[in-house]
Formats: sequence, structure tokens, C-alpha cells
Amino acid sequence: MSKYNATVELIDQIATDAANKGIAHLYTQDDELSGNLITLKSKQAVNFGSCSYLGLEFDNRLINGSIKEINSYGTQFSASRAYVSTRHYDELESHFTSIFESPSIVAPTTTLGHIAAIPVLVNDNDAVILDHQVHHSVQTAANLLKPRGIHVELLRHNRMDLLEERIIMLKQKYNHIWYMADGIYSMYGDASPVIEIERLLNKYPQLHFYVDDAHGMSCYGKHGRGYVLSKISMHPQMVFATSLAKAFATGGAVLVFPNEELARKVRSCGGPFITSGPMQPATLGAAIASAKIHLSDEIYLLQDELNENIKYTNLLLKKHKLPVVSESNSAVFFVGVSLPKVGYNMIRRMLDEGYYLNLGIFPAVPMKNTGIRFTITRLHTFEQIENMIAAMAYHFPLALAEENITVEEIYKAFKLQLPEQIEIDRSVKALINSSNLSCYSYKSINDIEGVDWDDLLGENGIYDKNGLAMLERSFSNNEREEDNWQFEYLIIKDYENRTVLATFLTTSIAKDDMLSPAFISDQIEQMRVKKGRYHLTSKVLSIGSPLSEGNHIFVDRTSKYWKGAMGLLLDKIASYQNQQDLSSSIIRDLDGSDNEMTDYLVSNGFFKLSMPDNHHINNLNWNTTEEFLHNLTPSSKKHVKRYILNYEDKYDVKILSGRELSSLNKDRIRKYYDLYLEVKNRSLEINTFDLPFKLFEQICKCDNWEVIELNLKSEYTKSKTAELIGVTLNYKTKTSYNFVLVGLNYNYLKDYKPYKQALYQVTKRANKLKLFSLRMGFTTTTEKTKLGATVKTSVAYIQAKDNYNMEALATMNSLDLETA
Amino acid sequence: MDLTRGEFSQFNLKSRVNLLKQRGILLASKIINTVYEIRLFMIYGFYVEVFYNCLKRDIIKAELVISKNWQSLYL
Repeated sequence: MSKYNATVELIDQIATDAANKGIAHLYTQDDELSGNLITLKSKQAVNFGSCSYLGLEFDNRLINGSIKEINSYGTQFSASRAYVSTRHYDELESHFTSIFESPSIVAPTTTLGHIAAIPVLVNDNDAVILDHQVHHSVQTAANLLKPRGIHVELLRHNRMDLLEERIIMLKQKYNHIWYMADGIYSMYGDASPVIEIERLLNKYPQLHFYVDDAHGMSCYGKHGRGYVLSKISMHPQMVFATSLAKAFATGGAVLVFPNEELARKVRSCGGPFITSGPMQPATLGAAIASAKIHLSDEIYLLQDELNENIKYTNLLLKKHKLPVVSESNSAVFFVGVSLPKVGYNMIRRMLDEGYYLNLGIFPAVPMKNTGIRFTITRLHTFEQIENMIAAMAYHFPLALAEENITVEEIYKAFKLQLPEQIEIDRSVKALINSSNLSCYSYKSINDIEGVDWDDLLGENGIYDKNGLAMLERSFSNNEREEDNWQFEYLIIKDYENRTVLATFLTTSIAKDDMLSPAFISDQIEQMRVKKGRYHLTSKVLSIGSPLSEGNHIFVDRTSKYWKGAMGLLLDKIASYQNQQDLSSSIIRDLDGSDNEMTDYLVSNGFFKLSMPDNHHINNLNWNTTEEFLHNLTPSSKKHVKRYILNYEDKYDVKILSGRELSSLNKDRIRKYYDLYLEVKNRSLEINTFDLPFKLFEQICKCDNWEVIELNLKSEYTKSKTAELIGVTLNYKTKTSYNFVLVGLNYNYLKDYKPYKQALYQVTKRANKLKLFSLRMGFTTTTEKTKLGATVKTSVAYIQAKDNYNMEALATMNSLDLETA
Repeated sequence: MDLTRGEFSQFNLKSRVNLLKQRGILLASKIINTVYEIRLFMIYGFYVEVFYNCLKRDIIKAELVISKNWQSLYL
């Protein structure tokens, strides 16, 4: 028997065996479906085998799109696209060109798309390298090249080192080398290392990348353009294929090309585009409706909902210590069971429990790498996910015992490390890392030696050396407890004396409602009037200081010791927290989308809290007011003209810095302070203690600070003498301007708009100083965005002790969230 | 299977509310200014406050409790 026939026989045997066991070749028995429940063998089961990840198959817009086109065009339009296509193709392909921002062609299926494209794209003197696990449909198309004598070889899965070796070899002999891979692999759910592939594409002009991103489509990226294009842009040496039969929920496929010429050539010469039938009106109608959803912001909500389910699944799998073969953020999961008999056993048990999952078995995976493959969609509830994984965790050891297989054998079969071993390795690594690091701590910025602080953090906000020295002077030796901050500076260096981490921390009294909604703070402030100013306050250790904002931690993420350095920082934080019995410690102003940092901090006992939005203007490159206005949206332009420019001549704007500022008399500084208090007492969005007057005195003595005064001209004031009604206190660094404090006379707020004017004058000043960016701080998003500011979201990570008075609370009535 | 505070905090508002519906125990609630209601839940051994706008019938946020003395707001 030939090798091919033997393989067919083996597949037939496995498929028949699985079908006989009642776990494959199944049919649903439902008259209609509307969610993720299906009936199999007269038993209802939750479907964990659907690749319709966003659950769009039940969306009425898609359903109506299909019905409409059937009514208009009948059930089919039977003609080759080489002759004539229905008008729907034109509309759909134009939508895809918008989605991918590259020329796109629609094909009836992904398999036909590959068969159309690959033989046209690959020339006779090219070579093809297939990832070992690339989808069967790509392999089928690549096999069509072999009779032409084209060199086709396999590469170990995702081994970019080997790929580079092969490129170096093959480029001597062949014009182009095509590397063909999946974006997200359909069995293990792992992803292609696309960043590394992009690096190779840039390095080797002979390399071309053909990628099938069927399982990534819709779930990731701008307009749902998929996993690969969420990581890298369409590359000139890349051709992208994807399926519409998964999360897109319609059937069909798309081929995306780097240029019109290549798209045209495949459209003209690709076999299935000449001889095969087209997509039918029903599918095209649904696809147009789905494409419109992809081009709207709704797609991001759908992606977010799916992502939450994926996150929950990953967490639970980890907690139950199931042998997940590949940890990823895709919707495809694979729990290894090694031999097929364990797979059959588990699938049957799960079906009995009411969960339909797929068996990942030969030929999709090697024989000894059988596993339970399941998918998560947006339609799953947390409860369904939790119950399914709990059932899996319960049955897993029972199935192993029944089939006489050990967990260790499974880990060995998949070359996975046992969870215990991973833990030991992690500890050893942490120990090695920390032994290569030295931590230096200081009580004052002036004590730091051997590091140029300003190079590391000086441009991030008001905390360069000068700024910090001023803060230290302002917040020490004061009467009130909240006006005394304790500073700590940490520098962590590796054994080659390179700085891996630098930051500063402050310990201060903070209001517990600092980040609560204003209505809560309002309530608590009323309580403080009765119970004292320190009611509901805590001593808190925080990265940065209560006055500063921005990224306060320099971490060299290119250093292999960065996590070790973070570990030392967390050790220090824990030690300060214990020494001073602090209720919480806060690491703030971090990028919430930095998943690596989130995972690291969460696994170290921190939890994430959203911070108020921050605002930056990065485009300060204008020469005239007209140019400034030109950069704004039409409504902002109108707003600025009406409420700001129309009032500008009513003010004498004065900018004070250097000697002029330092020689101000105390009464003038007191005036700034009073105006600041007027604002402070009305702003509860970020509820802090009043800053001390001493800070204002120190600001005026510090070179980097500037004050912008808004003096309302005498003809407009009630007293008929010029009056200071607005003031901003701003900090200059080499590259940025920081709007830090504002004071306003509220009596003039309505008539002369001093706040809007203050923001504008700060923007003008930053422009005049030719700085690169203006940091505008928290709150008043509407006002700041009108001047062209972009909103920056950030998060804080908190480690807190729980101190609820449970006995008191337990006596209260229980209610249900639904009744809210 | 219990989540830690850090794990809970990684979810968005909708998912947090789902988890609270599924697993949370309501301990206390307080109406503020007749418009807002704060509800205190215990879940997985820690505490979460849900901020609800009664007029808009909208949950504004669900955040972990970090203060040590918050019970006084509910008593």
C-alpha cells in the first residue's frame, strides 16, 4: 500500500471510530437556532465548537441582507466571474478595500482563494516554505506548484531562526522565497510571530509572506481586519488571505494584495475566478451587511465582548491547571490529552455534561498530540464558560485514570513544562535576575549620584531635578500633616552599571475618595465638616507625587532584567508599606493596554483602577492664529473663535518667569493662591487636600516655572480698575510645557470665560516657546479637546489592605443587583 | 473558582457587573442626592462598589474598594 493510501486508511479508521463513538459526524436536531445551544443525539449542549466568534450569524442586519438579495436576485446567479459578476461584488470588494486599506478580491471560499492566488503569485523560479502547521487549504494550493517543479519545503512550526537560515540558503538559487503561514493556527490557537516576520521581510527583499488569517478575521484590529494586520501594516511583500466563514459570519473569503497590479493579475488568471461558480446573492447580501458593521465603531464593542470571554477562559484554565497547549489571546483553545483514546473519553464525558467540544485529532494534529479543542464566542456567558471548564477539570483526571494515562505523560507528549516546574523556574530566574541587580535608594533628589535623572525622567512632567527639589522644599516642615510628603528615590542598576529602573515615590495623606465620582466626594466632604478633615483619609505610598502626572517610572524594557528590577521595586514598596503601616500603595499613570505590565503587576497582588483622562497637545507647530484654527475641527474652530478669540482683547495677558517672578511680593502670590482655592473648592473630580501657600511661594522662586496672568481690562471690571481674574502656573522642560495649576475669579466666569482663555494662552505660550508638547492635565476634557488636545487614558495599580467593618455591614439588608 | 482582586480588575464594567450578578453578595446600599445609588458588594472575599445613576438607569462604574473606613458611608 502506498504511503498516501495508508494515510487515507488511517484517517478513515479514526473518523469512523469517532463517528461510531457518537462524537464526530454529528447532526444538529434543532428546528431553529438562535444562540449557542444545539441539540445533538436528543440532548441539548452548549456549543463550544463554533468559529463564529462574534456571534454575528444571528444579527438581523445580516439575515435581512440575505433575504433582500434573494428576493432581488434569486437563490443564485450562475455565471463565472470571468464573464459577469452581480453588482454586489463591486460593493463588497469596495468595502473590503476600505476595511484593509489595500486592494481586495472576494472568493467563494478560502480554499478556492488559495487555489486561485498561490499558483499565480509563485513564479517558476521561486521557492515556497510552508509552516509545518499551516492550514491544509494552503498546503493543498501549494501542492499545485509541485508539478511545475517549484521547490516546496516544510519549516518547523513558528521557528523564525530556522526560517532565516533557509532564506539565506534559498535566496542564492531562487528569485523569491514565499513563507506561508496562518495568522492564528486553527488547532492550538497560537499565533504567527508576525513582528519577527516583518523584520525578516524588511531585511530580505526576496522574502514574501502569504498568510491565512481565517481565525483572526473580525476579532482583532482596525475594522476587524484580523490578528496579523492588528500587529503589522500591510507589507509590500505580503499577500493576505482570510475567511468570511468564521467571525465575519457569512461564508466566502477575501484576498488582500499590496498593489492593484497583483490583485488584477490574480483576478484575471486565478483558476477558480475563471472556471468556478461565484458567491451567491444570499451570501453576498449578508457579507455587505457584515462589512458595514466592520466599518462602524460597533465592531470594537463586539471585539471587546469577545476579548472579555477569552480573558475569563484563560484565567479559569490557569486556575484549574489544565494542560493548555498554547497560551494566547485567541478564541481557540487546546487542552492536551495525548492519546486519541483519552480524547474520545473526554469528549463523550463533556457531551454527557451538556457541552459540545471538538476533538483535535490526526490528521489535524500528530497522533500523540490529541486534545480537546474548543472555541469561545461572544455569545458565551461567563457562567457557561465557568461551568464548562469546571466540568472539564472534574472529568480530566477521571478520564486519565480510566485510560491509564498520567498528567506527566501529557505534558511530556506536548513538550510542556509542568506548572510546578514553571513556578520553580520562575523563582530561580527571579533570583538570578535580582542577583544581577543593585538597588540604590535616596531620600532626596540632591543625594542621587552617578545617574542623570533628567535624561531618564526629566521630560515626563514636572519632576526633573529642579522640579523635585522645589517639591521637596514645599512639602516639608509644614504645620499640617497633609502638607508633609516623604520622598523616596530608587535607582536600580544591572551588573554593568546600566540603569534598568528609576523612579520616585511619595508617602502622603490622601483622601480615600480622591478618584471617586464627584457626587461621592461631595457627600464625604459634608461628612468631613462634621467628623473632621481627616475623616476617610489614609496614608498612601504612591509612585510619583500627588501634584505630578505622567509616567513616573523609567524602565528599560530592552533589558533582560527589567522584570527583576520591577520585582525589587515591588519589594521596596512592600517594605515601606509594612514599615509605615500604610493602607495602600499605588503605581500610577501606566498605560492600561500594556498587557505584559498588567499581568506582571496583577500576578504580584496589585489590581487595576482607571485614572481620569489626561490631555496632551502634540501639534504645536503653527505660526499664526489662522494656522492654529486650521488644525481644529469645524465645531472647535467655531467654539474657539466665539468664546476665546472674541474675548482675548479684553485681557492684558502677562507672562512672568525668572527674576520677574521671583521678585513678586507676597500679596500678589497670595492673590494667585486665593484664585487657586476658588477653583479647588469647586472641583471634586479629583478630590485632594488644598495645596499649601508655601508651594506657591516656592514656585515663584523656581526657574522652570512660569505664571500666566489674565488681567481683565479696567473697562470690563466691576471696580473699573484692571483686575487679575485668572492665573495659570506652568512648568517648562526642554521639550514640553506643563499646565499644572489654575486659579479663577468665578464672578467673571460667565461673562469673560477666563478658564477657556487661560487654556488658550497656555497653548499659545507652549507654541511660542517652540516646545514639542503641552501636557494639560486631568479633567475638563471638552474644553481641552476644543483646543486640539488628545485624550490619553491611563491606569493605576493598587495594593490595598481590606479593612471593612464586616460585622456592621452584615446587619444590613441584602438586595439584588437586578433591582437597581 | 475565585478570582483575585487583580484578576477582577482586569475586566470591563459589563463583565464586572456580570460577575457581581453571578457571584456577588450585596451588603449595603446608599442613595445620594436622590439621583445616585452606591451598592457595596462582596465577591470572592473582597469588596466592590457599584455606582448607579437612578435617573438614567445606568451603571456608571464598579470599582474595588480601597479605603479602610468606607463603611461609615453606608451606616
